Amino acid sequence: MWLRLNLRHRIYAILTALVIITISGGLVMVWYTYRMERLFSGIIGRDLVGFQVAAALEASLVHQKGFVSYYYLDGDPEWLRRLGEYRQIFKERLREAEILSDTPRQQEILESIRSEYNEYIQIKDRVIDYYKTGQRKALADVHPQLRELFFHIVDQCEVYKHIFTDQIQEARAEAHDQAEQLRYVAGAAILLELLLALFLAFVLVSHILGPVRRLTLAAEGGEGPGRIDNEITALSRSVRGLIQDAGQVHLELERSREHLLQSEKMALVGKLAAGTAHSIRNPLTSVKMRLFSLGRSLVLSDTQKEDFEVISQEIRHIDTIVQNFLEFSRPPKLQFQEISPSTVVDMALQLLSHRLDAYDATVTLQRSNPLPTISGDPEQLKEVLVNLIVNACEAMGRGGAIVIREETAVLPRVGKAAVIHLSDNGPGMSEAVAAKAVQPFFTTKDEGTGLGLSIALRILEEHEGTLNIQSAEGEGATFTIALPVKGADT
Amino acid sequence: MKTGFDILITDHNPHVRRFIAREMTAAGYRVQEAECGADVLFQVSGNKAVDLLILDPDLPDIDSAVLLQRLRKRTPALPVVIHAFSSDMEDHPEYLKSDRFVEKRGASIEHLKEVIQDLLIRR
Repeated sequence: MWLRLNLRHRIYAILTALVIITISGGLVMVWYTYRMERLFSGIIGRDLVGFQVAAALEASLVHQKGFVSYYYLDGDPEWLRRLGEYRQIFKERLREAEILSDTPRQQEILESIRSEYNEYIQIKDRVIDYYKTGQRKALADVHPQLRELFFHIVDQCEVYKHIFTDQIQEARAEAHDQAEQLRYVAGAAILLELLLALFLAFVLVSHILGPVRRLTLAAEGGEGPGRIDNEITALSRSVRGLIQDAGQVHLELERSREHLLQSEKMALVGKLAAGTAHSIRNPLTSVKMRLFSLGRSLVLSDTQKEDFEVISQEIRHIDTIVQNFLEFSRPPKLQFQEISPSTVVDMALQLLSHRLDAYDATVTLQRSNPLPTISGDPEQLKEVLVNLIVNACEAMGRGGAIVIREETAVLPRVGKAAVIHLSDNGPGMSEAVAAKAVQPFFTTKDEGTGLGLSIALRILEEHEGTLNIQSAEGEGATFTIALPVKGADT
Repeated sequence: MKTGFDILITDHNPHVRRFIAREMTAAGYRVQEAECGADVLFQVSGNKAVDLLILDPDLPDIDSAVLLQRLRKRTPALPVVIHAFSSDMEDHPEYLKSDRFVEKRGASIEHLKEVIQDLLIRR
């Protein structure tokens, strides 16, 4: 049952038990004070008054003794008057006692006291008469009877007094018993509360504070301060950190998934391109052969010659597209060697010297030292540079200026890298175009296949490098190639 | 120009095959044609043996590697000129780099004729 409760309900249960015990303890105390009050007021109101009356009754009786003897000795009637006073007091006390008496036993004793007292008074009066008249013989006869009767009444008064002392004793014993019981109850309650409090503390420590502390230490990864003043604050700080981390991881995951999706798309596009190119190439070659044959023997007019030229030219264009398709679809087999990218730049510029002249383009090379060697395929890298330079020439038209700047840098995704910036002063491109530029089959040129930059990007990716495009419309474009420098410490 | 040689032309595109056959006939050779791998293997080992084989190994019924291996095994002496796309021959660099490889293009027929003439005269 306990194990099936969840933590929150367990804590609620313990707290409820604590509250119930505390409230019931308080209620028991209130009840006990009422009970004590009743007990004591009973003692004070009834038994004590009863006792006082009984004591006074006895005293007023005992006081009656001796006066007759004094009277006999000096014959002063004052003694008899005082005896009368005490008799009056006794009668009043007896009446008070009769009013207060509420049990049959008390009434019985009081009844007996009254009758014996009356008898005593009568005998006593007779004794006084005997004194007055001097009948000494009769006096001597009556005296023992009178003495016996007096002491019997005194005994009765004593018995009556004892009834009240017994009752008081009883009430005291009862109060003692109840106090003892209450002490037991209070002791048990204290013990139970202590146990529950300990249990609550245990639950709080083992189920909440302990785990929170461990979690905090784990979340801080041992980097935080050794002492944690407030676990909850520390934990919430850590959790906020974790949430941020998770957000970042999620973002990176999203990015890598996009990248994967892009790669899958590229692979599919590659397959499609390869199939298409393979199917087109064969009949196209046949067409080219027949066209060549036709060209050898045909005697054509000028217009016919122009038609023929255009046909040949367009077929060559189709052929280029097919070649690009094939190249794109077949990942190049890279032949890696240690080479400085600066050498590749030189190779590309040398290869393109005629083309650059034809475009009347000036190339400025900014190089302080040759770039550090990287592991790469010079032919493929050269193709990348050729592609980018030709693109720049085509974008700028005649008389453009190209700046090639080389540097080494440490980049976030690549690490230590050889970097080549290739800037032109052509028309540039919008952000949207720049973003799409490396997608396969995206082209802004009439005769482009849209594969040049795709192929370049793939070659760089196979070198674990990157290609970045920075451009704005009317402000030229800068292509940045970054290739990782292998064996670097960082 | 020495004539009277028998040449077997193999290409799975009949128009390419006919064109080469026409050109070779005009150059004075006797020509036979084969349109698939089985056809090639049958004709090179038949009674009427050929002097030279022009081959595009991209054929529908047989893998190019298997065909080339069988030819080497059955007719080691037969000169073979590969007339194909270089991209199709990347798996066989020994042919790609030899002087018996002619890249298939629109104007490759002239190059093909020169290679064949060289080979047959040298014999």
